[in-house]
Amino acid sequence: MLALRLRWAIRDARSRWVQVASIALMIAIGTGMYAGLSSVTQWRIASNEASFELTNMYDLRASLAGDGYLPRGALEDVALGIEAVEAAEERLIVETQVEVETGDGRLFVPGRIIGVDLSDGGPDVNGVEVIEGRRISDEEAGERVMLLERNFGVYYELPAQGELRLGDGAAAQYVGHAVSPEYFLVVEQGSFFGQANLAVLFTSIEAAQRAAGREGLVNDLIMTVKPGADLAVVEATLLAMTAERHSGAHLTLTRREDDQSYVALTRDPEGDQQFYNVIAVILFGGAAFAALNFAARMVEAQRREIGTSMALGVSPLSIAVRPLLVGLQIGALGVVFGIGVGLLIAKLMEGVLASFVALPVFVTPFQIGIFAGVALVGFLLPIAAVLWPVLRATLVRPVEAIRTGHLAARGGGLAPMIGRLPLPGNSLGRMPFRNLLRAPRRTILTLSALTAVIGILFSVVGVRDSFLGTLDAGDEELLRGAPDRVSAQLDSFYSIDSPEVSNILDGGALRRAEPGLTIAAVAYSHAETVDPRGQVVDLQGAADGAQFIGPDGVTLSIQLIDFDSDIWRPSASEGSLSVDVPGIALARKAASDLGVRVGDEVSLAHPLRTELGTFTIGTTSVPVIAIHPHPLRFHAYMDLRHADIAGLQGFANVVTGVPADGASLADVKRAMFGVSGVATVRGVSESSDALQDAFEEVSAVFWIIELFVLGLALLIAFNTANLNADERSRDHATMFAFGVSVGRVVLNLAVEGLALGIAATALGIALGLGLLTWIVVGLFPDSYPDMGVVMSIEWPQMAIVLAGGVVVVALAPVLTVRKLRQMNLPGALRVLE
Amino acid sequence: MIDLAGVSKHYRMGTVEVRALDDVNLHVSDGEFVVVLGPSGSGKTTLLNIIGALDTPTAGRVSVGGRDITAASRSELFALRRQTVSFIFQSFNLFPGLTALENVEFGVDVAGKRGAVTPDAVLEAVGLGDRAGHFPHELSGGEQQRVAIARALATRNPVLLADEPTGELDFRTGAQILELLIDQASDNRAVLVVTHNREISRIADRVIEMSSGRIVSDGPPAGGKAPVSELRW
Repeated sequence: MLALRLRWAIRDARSRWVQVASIALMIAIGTGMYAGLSSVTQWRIASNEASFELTNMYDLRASLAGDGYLPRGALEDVALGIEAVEAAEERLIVETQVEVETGDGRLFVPGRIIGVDLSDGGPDVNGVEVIEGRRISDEEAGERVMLLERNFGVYYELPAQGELRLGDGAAAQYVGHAVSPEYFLVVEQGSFFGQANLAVLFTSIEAAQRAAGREGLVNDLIMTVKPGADLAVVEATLLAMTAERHSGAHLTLTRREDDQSYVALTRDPEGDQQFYNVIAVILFGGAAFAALNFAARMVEAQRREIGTSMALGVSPLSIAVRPLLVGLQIGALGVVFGIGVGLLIAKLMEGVLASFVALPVFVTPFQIGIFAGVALVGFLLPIAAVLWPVLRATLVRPVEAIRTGHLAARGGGLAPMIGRLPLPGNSLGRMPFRNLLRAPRRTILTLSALTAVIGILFSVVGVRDSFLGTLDAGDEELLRGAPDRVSAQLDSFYSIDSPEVSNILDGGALRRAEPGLTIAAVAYSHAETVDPRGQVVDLQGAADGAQFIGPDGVTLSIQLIDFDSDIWRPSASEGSLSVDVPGIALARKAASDLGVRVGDEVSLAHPLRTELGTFTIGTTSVPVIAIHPHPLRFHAYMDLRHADIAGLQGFANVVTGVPADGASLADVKRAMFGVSGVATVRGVSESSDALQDAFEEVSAVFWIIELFVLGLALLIAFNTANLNADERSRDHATMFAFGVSVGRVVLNLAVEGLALGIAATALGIALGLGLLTWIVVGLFPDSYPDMGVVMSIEWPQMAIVLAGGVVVVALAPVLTVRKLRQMNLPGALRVLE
Repeated sequence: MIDLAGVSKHYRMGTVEVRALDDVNLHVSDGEFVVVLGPSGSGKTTLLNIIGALDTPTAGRVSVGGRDITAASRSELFALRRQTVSFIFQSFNLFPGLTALENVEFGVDVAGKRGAVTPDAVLEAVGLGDRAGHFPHELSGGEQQRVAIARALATRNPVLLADEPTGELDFRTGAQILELLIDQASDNRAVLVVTHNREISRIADRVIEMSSGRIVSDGPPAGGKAPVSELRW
């Protein structure tokens, strides 16, 4: 008996293999996507850990502040004199400018030469891993042979080997693309994806010394400590020993967990994961609803055969075997396909990870544990689905189950309730709507699946729109008025009367140029205690927030500019840009995070220039005078007239202006290339352009989700149409007998799909809006604390995406045309069920 | 109205050639009520399907309503079914999602007779005026078949083809259905009823008996035409 049932079930599967396979594929997309998306955090963590381990990232970094240098070996001796230090590497880090030929012409960007000990496969700490090209040989030590930081190389699509020119005007060769942990993710000026505006070059320490004219000197030390070592003790000892041996040398200490790249890579991976988890659960839910529905419908088609078996005295358990085997086939195939989908997603996600973070190692193992759990559900789902109709069929009396003809007619569901309501069109036109209402359970299950799919589609597209909308809002604010303005960042604070500033102001490359200041600060709400970690830091030259990471405060990059400037000044969404009192204009996100409003006071921990010309940390309370609309939290503005709060009255470390008539940004960069005092020259839009470009790369993950979601929608639509065609074959045959054309029948099916698609779209938009709100309002503040992401939806684009989904659902019946055309009309008409 | 000349329908089932129809010649005039009798497999349903353009013969010529359908295109066959023939099925084949009235409207709509035919009146004519808003599963078998007849009548097509129209019904309901069909012939329609119930042949104008795909007898019922009231089964 069992052998017969098995043969029978195999025949069932063979005769309906398209349905079996497509239902299994739906389960596979649900389980595979769930496993894939749920694994993102594990993949990220595993890839990060493997990469940090491979490159032996530092535990502690000590930088000589400002123009401080020490002879090579001095710092290393101090470090290795500390028992807890395991390894130490000295470096020379030199800011420069880089000119390189790209596919779009010559590029001038700020550069950073990192001179390291390359001998014996070094450096031992913060290893430099060559991704493409070759290593620098020991013989090349001292020569102008370099390795290009991978993110920069990829961003500008530079070959693995080539030539570039440094700020001193001399050429250098680069022989490969390389990665190092401080630049796995390039974070500059508090913002990710800084690779567009920073060319990092790794070279031998001797070559860096020659390029900087600092023969035999270093300015940086990186260390790893022994397991269990107390880092605070190491820090204190290092500072004390350095002060003792090298008086006048000021060290800025950075722990690994404060390294910007490390922080950006490791911060709140669970925040992102929550987003993926929700998408995964809903997607799996949608696939589950659909699979449940379709598997049940497949078995319902066997209802009469089940009744016949009952009439012949077969036990319900034995009867259940055949449908269960069909469910088993679907479940098993779903698991097999699911592994394939999971592996495919792992591969695709690896590509996405690689597109925005340059790790030497990517680890995206198939997460057996996660997959096993969800695959079990996916496996049991079709089995549960077939049990319900079997149970229903076996609970009725056999005489009812085998009854044919009109007596077997099924209830009309909701149809009788609305039967007397006027519906549009003639009898043929009403048919699709009546069919939907006739089987409410079936319709609701299909609708739920499509709603889940469309809800996900909406939220994913909405997340992308929100990010891009937020970046656009930032652009709009920064590019308002003078979109071509250029900022020349100086390598130190200079008197505004100094030759360095005058050369730029009067150099001819810029017109309407104004000096300004950019200082790093940490803002605290007034009630909080200012405690910038109690570190003794020298902030000479500090232009970004790298040295200023407050545990409770908000890191700011305060631009002190003329609020009466005719070049550009921030706009005020709230408050006004008063020049009368020292006040600060904050981004809405910063104000929100600090819990302050216009009129409230904030405390700033900021660099304070002493009478000796050195810097210490000062604290100042200032009122919030305005909220500006830029979404990035670190953007803050004060009027230049109040530079005295930092002791910088009459100083500048940035000059902003617009290019001279007829000059382009490239012309300005070329003109300032190598000019004394100029560290970097940037167009105002370059940072946000880079951010937009990088986001486009990251958004590949959304495309992957959308691709699979649309695939799922197509499968749901196809199965719906296919099963409808089977279940209504007699209706269709009757229509054909009355001369209704195949086209009209397909049109009716399409209208039914369209109605379903429109209803699912309406519900999906509601679901998607809910999801999007939760993601943007609930998740992003933690996941992206530096950005005030504003929920925005590009409705025209969204409409196209949603219409695409609806069209897919509506057009799916076209796939049944062949089946309808080949229908055995006399046979179908005489079916007595 | 209906002309068949040398019509055959052969097909293969595995290695066996089946002659469903074998050189059938037939003429049915307007207003004739014809009953086709025969055991299972005699070819009577195949004959009905070919006349109704649901199937095509392998040989011979078929003309319905003056149109040669043997060489007609697919779309012409669809048009013939919309404008010339109407079907009544043993299991009614009503659309379960449409009410009784809407099922009748369907007949009107596909034949393009909106305005010319009032569906309510047709439903009234079969005695179901008070059941217009009911769905098929809310109707008895007899009522369902009457709706099916109303649907066919609503097309106003000149040929009515009924395949075992009383096969699912009790005697009394079946008799009511037959009365309705006789009325249609009186209305100058050609009515062709396929049945294996010999008793029904007594009310026909003409009885065609089939066996093994051939017409073995064709003529008025033995003993003359009887009224429906005399039928017993």
